[in-house]
Amino acid sequence: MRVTIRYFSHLRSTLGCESESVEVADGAIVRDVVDNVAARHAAVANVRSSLRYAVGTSFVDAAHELSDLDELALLTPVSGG
Amino acid sequence: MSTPARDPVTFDVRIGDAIPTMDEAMAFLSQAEGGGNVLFAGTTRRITGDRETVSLFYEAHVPLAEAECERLLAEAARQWPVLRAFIWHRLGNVPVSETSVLIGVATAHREEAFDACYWLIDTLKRRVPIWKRERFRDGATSWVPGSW
Repeated sequence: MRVTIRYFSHLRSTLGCESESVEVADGAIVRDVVDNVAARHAAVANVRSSLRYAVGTSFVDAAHELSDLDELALLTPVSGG
Repeated sequence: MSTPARDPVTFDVRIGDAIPTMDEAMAFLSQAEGGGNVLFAGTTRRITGDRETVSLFYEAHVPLAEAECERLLAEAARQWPVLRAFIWHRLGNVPVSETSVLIGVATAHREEAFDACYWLIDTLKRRVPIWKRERFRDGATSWVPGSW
């Protein structure tokens, strides 16, 4: 199945892209996808411990099981206001 | 003698390149016909430490930020007797002294409006997926360190 990963703020700036589409195994959880991304992008590995995750309009944890065509957001600590 | 009917609690969330004015904010709150309307405006600060800022650039995960703001307003209404409340957050470039965020709360009495409004801005800064990049007078830019 395919999942779209979305990046924001300094992750987006550092990686030079807003999103990427990856092929993952059926039954994959968020942690599997982040393992894959962190192995390819040092910028993600470096901030991994501070990330939160969201699918659609809900925050999810690393054990959340993904579905085909899900949009997984990797969120760095927020600074709005 | 019957008890006068209250209007249902009304919330409003807007996150985008432009937000309504303070006059529109007060008009929104005044419709609650409560006794306390508190309005918080977050603006771009010019001086931080020894550096001069010219603007802040805001970006957001908009659908998630909108949903999280709705959740914050609902949580506030469970903690305080809120009549009306809104969170409006601007995105894009916000020059010094301009408003990036407006939060308003209307309640029957002032104390709960202050408390709810303080909680909303404080919690927004730790939970809502919005980020800002600072542009300094010397041309340098830097993403502002965030927090959860």
